[in-house]
Amino acid sequence: MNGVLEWIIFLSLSLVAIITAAGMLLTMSMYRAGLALMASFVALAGLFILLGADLLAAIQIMMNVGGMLVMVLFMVMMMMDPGGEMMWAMKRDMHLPGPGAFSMHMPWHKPPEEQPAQQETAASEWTCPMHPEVSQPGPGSCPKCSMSLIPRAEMTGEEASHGHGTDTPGEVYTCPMHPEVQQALPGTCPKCSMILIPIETPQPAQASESTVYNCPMHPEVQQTQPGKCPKCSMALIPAEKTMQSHEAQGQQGMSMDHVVSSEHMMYVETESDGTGSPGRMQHEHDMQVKPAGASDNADSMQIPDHNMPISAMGHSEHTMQMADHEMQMPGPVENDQTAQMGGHSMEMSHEMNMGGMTPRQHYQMMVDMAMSTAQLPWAIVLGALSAILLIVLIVLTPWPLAHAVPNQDATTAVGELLLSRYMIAFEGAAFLILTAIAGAVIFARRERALAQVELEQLQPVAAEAVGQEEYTCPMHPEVRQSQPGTCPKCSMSLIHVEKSSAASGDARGHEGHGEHGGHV
Amino acid sequence: MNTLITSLLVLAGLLVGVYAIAVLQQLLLLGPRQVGAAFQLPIAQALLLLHQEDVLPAGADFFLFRSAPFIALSVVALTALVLPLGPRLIGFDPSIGLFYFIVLLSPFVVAMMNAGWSQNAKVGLFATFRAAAYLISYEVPFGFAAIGPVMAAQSLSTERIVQSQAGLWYVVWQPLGLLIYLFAALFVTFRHPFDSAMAGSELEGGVFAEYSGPRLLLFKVALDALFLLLMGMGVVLFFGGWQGPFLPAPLWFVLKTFALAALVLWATRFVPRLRPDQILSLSWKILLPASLLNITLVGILTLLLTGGNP
Repeated sequence: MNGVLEWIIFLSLSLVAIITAAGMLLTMSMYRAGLALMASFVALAGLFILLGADLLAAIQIMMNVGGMLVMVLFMVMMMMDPGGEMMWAMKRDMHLPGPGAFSMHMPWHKPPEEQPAQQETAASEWTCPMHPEVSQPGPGSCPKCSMSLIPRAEMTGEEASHGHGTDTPGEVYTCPMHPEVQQALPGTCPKCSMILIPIETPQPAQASESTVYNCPMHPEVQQTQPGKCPKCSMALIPAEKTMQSHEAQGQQGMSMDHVVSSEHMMYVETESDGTGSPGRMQHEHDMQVKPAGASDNADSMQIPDHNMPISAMGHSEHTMQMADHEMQMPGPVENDQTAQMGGHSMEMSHEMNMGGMTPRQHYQMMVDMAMSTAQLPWAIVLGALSAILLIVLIVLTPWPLAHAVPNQDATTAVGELLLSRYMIAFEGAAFLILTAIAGAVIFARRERALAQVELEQLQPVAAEAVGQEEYTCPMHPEVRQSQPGTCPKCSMSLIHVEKSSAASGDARGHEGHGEHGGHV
Repeated sequence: MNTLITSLLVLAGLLVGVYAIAVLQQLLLLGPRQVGAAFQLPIAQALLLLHQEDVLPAGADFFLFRSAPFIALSVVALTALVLPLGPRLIGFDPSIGLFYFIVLLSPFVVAMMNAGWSQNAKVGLFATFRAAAYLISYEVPFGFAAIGPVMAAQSLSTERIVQSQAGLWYVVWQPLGLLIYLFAALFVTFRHPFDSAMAGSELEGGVFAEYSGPRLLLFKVALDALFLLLMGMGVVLFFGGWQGPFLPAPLWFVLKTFALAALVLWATRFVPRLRPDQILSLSWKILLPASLLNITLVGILTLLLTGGNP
């Protein structure tokens, strides 16, 4: 083999090794990450063959390709999403930064502060999505199921929209990732086991005559009943032929607005460069309504794309005004919860451009989706430093074979030298990995401790605001007073209880909070 | 230049060998034997596949789906380099030729797994699981069976192994090793009794379910070539390689290889296809202990026959 060819092979093999190693770090798919690592090791083995170390190359291939293969096998069998497609779709739908196929990394900036001012009234109470009786004044985890708590306002908003579902029978639950999953009861998605969210389809009883279902692929298929297309067995989607009066659709339109504003805000916001005002939004809606409103069935194709029933769109103006109205005087009005929620999320998103999520939640989601830890920059710096150190070592230390005579022992000497240096590099890498793991654990602990401290600082303030102490009967826990005395039922003397422990008591629930808020 | 000539020769030899294997398979089919058709059918099938449309399934992985047949064929071509056709007639003679051969078989299975996984279909995925499970279970008995001749010859070089069988072929005193080797070879190439990773009836072609046209042809060529190479390595390990009276060395090697291939193809006709669980229990419960027993026996016999000197 002559020198030029050797150089070409060397350069291409090292290029492949480096590119595939980077690909392993960057790809969103577990399977591809395993394959990329395998390819990197094989390219390294090619370099060993080029250096005349055949045994080392063979061992490299056998150990690493075999090991990676087992790893890939278990990834494919055990992982929920080995191809990374779900993450990819999530990233695309939420307009998160970075190219789609690449894995997400930790957000660089600091976590934003908790929501100020206008959320205070709504979100000062946090509750468990599963156990509504749990309530506490700050974020945390549920004492019953250790799910993370959500603000009470979200909960009640959801409940209110559920309430709508009972009198409009068209409410279905769907997966945020798989819109084809639709069922009548809440639950989890069979594909990705995310929690299903409610959407409402316009099929009220009085409107069934004017509702036509057609296939997204075959516009000539039209039915008055929902079902599947006889040609391609896709689920039929509703298309309205006649628009209905404001009065008939007012209520539904409002709850529709909740869906629209919280889920499709992102769409509108990106179109309007983040400066979207309600008026601008309405403009966007109207633009979408026009082709569909012209009762052209083929145009209804664009509607399922945004999950937006046409009946709601015709009244976006109405609901927008309502949302505006509610924004000016926020407060939990029971009947207009959804409208209030709609206005609320809209307000947030046209400030933060995050579509229905507080910046804190958005940040938390970025952290959850990230495939690296916050210590990645440190790892990169350490890796680069150690690579430089190794190169310097190899260049500066005398190369013992520079003046060697090419005799029988020369290859053996090269092999031994290579083995020793390779082992140094290998063990150095292992040491770095161990350091990184230890560092990650330590940092993670510290972050958690900081979060704990924050939480503790938050809680006493809220508890003080509500009232520090109260008295209850040892026999009748439902008896509660703010002053010591005797139980009206059994006239035992009341005992003192801590406010925070009482907060998790299910006897009180939401109303109790409101009542005690009045004491202060 | 030398490298280029060697690689072209290897590829040409593999193609001719694959054709011969295909003819052999036709001749060994059940039913009336039609010699003329047996010689024409493989060519006709190859031409048919070359004509066929190359269908790409929707949602298939762009790179992996396209590259899998090429990876398979190139891995097979690389393994062919270490087979000695005669004294000093070898493409590449590292001192660890046999190890190199065994090691390069796992990238072949990686190619098969990629083919199954990348096509975005369920049958392909199931076939991928099977292929990977077979890979893990064949590798150990295969390596242990090949250790026997290595222990006797005290070298990993394929040439040295052949030379050390000048007096007595290893098959004479390592028949168990040969048997295990042949089983493992059928595992690797997904041949008839162990072909459930590409089962025609239950998984619609398994990892090849979505392949068609020239890519499928490449895969079939790679599989047949790998079978031929494994038989050739069997001859090197157990049947004295190129050694034989009167005829020139390469001819002896080719004759022995095809005789072994014909024997294996004929014998497997009488076995029904095994289920995946049967394949796995055969590998782990029978072949693995048997290969350990084989190593023990070979060790004792090596000491008795040669006194520890090759």
